[in-house]
Amino acid sequence: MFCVQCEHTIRTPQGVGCSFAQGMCGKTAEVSDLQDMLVHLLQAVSLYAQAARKVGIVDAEIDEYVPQAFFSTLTNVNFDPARIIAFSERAGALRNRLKSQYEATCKAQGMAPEKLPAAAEYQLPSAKTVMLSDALQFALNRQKKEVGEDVIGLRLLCLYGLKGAAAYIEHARVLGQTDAEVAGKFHDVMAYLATAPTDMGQLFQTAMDIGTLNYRIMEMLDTGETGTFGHPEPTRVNLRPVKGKAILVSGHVLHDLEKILQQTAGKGINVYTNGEMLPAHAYPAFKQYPHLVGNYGTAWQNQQKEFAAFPGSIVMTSNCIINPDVGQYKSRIFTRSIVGWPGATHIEGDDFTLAIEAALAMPGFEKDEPPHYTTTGFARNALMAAAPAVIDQVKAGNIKHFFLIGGCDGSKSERSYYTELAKAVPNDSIILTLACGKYRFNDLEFGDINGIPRFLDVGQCNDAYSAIQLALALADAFGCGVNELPLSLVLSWFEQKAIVILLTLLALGIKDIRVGPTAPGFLTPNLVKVLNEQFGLKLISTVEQDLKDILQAA
Amino acid sequence: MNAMMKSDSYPLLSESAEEPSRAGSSALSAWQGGTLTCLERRDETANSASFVLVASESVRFDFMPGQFVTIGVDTASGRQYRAYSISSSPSRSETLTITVKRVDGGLVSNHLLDHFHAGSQLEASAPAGSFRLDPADVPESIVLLSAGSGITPMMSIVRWLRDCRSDVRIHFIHSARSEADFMFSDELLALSQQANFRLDLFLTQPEQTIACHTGRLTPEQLDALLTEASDNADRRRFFLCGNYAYMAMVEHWFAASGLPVEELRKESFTPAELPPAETSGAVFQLTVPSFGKTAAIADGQTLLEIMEAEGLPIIGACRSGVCGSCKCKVVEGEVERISTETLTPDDIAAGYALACNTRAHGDVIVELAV
Repeated sequence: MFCVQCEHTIRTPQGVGCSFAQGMCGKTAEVSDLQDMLVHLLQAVSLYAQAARKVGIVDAEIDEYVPQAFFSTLTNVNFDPARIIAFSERAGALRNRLKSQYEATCKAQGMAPEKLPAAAEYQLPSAKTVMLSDALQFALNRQKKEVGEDVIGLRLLCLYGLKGAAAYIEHARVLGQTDAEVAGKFHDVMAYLATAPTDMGQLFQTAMDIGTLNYRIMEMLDTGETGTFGHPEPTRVNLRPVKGKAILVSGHVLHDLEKILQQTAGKGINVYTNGEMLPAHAYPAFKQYPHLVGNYGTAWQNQQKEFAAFPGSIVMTSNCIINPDVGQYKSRIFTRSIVGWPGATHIEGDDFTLAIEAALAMPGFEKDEPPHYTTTGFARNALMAAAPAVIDQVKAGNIKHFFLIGGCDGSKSERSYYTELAKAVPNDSIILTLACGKYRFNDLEFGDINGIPRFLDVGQCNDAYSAIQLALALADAFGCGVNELPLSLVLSWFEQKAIVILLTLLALGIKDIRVGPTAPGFLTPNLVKVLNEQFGLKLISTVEQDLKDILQAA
Repeated sequence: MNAMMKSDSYPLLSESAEEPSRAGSSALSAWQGGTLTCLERRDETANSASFVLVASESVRFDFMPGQFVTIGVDTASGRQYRAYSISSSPSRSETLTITVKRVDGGLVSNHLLDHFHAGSQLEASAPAGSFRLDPADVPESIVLLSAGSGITPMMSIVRWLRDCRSDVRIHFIHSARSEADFMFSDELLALSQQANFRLDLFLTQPEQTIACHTGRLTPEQLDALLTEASDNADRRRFFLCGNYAYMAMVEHWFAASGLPVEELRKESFTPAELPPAETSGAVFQLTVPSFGKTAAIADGQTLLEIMEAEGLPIIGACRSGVCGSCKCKVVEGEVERISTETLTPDDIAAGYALACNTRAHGDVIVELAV
């Protein structure tokens, strides 16, 4: 195996990347190799999808399937070799179908089919042993000696960024938001990466194009979420359990939460959000369910303890899942969509009976705990509604600086930086946050500035779209560019969704972002230097130093 | 080292051998698995031995060089099954030999070494495995890359080629800890005197009596060795067998070199290359307070074995003390750190250890590192 896509990747003096029997996420070398093969096959589908579009064939099933299956290769999504093989088989079948259709259309139009790269024709072997030996030729660090590590690094920046975009395409699709133009651009990048590109300028531009594409995808997702569930409103959420049977819903997919709430109504089961599902409480559509009682647990890396102690069933609607054998709760965790763990029950369709029965068979919480609250829901509309008051306070000199502190959480101790930073920012600053990185400080009290809360939870990682809208509105109000605003972005990254959001911010021209806790393993020192020169992108240092630099520059 | 064979070593070009063929005496039916009896035990090193096995009926052992058999033996913990590479050549089809090395905590290997002698019996399945040299597709030149007991399937390949009087060029690159751990040393050193056979031996603890490279094999050394020997670079086939860390290093080198992947055959085995444990037989307690776990740990057992068995969230990626994934903190207790390769002196002073390469010699309290 060779995988370097997450922040926890193994770093030894010999090199960076998980390359042994198991990755730091727990995926086996077998799953990692099969995922490389799946990616290769999906690129084959995209090569044909790109060619087919030129003769007028747009296949909606393929446009949906490729990003969906690609999502299964993100960190902490799918650990089940049988599922990865099944995804590959379907990819191969779809490619064959599209190929026939494409060649028939070319023939009918009296033209020769385009000569596609050899990657387009890869045939999935039937035996797993052959798949695994084939997979070596799809290893992502292949050709490193020939093309150099900077080219490999840029290819991976594009590939991993596109994985993040694929995840958001799938999240948007679940809410009925699709766009053939977006799908076409997505296939273009997949097809380009299938050609083992070596032109660094072109690769760099592709990374920016992925960022721009993702801005549009996040807009689609925002439309899907607000169109279906309404605009989030600031909402207090209890972080402590209440007495009764319980189901925990984790991941990003609000659609699943809605179905679970509908199907548990009147059954005496309380529903809790976990991780990235917390912002769901702020959507008007979920306020009609009194049995959506609160949020349980914190960020993904704590689930092996928190889920083990949860006295009910657990539904993983998307990333992040980690080994449920640790903590022995595999029998009561249920996976959805592209999520998978060998031996955990997978629920297809919208019937959650299995998870509900499992919750009823568990004892539930024995008593109410004293409530403790966090507030979420400062998404696009809420922020826009508050913008005039915020602008007044800025003009009056009461608000001097905005910090966006957010992104993914993870288990490394260096991540205490984000807690310390949130505590240390001056009292005349507003803290915006999003994604599961917020759990580092969302239970703290930050107070308010003349009625404007100092701590504003914008939502999930994809709600970066809302934060960008606020920044654009503020820039507009003050007649300046976003980079001239007293706004500093200090992001934490862990996996590929964070990578694509970073690419989006860079593509929008946002400068001087700080990222941590460490640089992505796939970015070479050269590439980090280029990103610093072009965008002022920096790694975090110490809270004291960074705050000093940020406030001096402001 | 002289070129004479030890009397009990495998004959290289035995004049008395029947006409070499993969299948041997084809009049006999091919063995399909069943009970095998140990005809002879040959101790290869202080902690490894070869077991020459025969079937009860007249059969031929039909396999390709490099393949393995899965054997079942009754141990104190019940019947256990493990796969072992065949170290003999299919040209000598009347017997089948496996070579076993003692491994830390290795239930089956250690049982065989402690209790298996001439006359002992075991159950085995028919030979299998895709790691093999296909007699119908023999390249002009092969590179054998092995570490530790990864040498065993290579011996089958080497022995078969020699028996066939093949003129295939063999470049054998083997890594071991010390001369005392170098299995089949006499046979390989003798072979290295022959044309078309090159041996590059890497020992991390050399003793200067055998010519060797010192230290672990690195990608740079592979580059240098294979450039030197690259008489026919495009037509070489590579056979790779060793522990995870070794395999990963070579595979990366292979991928990075842009060599054709269809020319790489690989076989891995799990155990880390730990020296045999010195154990008093005492049983201690391992405690991980943050997970409320306490479990028994035998004197000399690695922390990783117990933490994995207890379902604690620890990743053992390389299992060889080189990747650092199983870093944990020994808060209290007597332990022996075998590898500390990825730890800084400050880490070690603070109690950090690599669980796969740390043995308990008393009650231990461990914190999982973050």
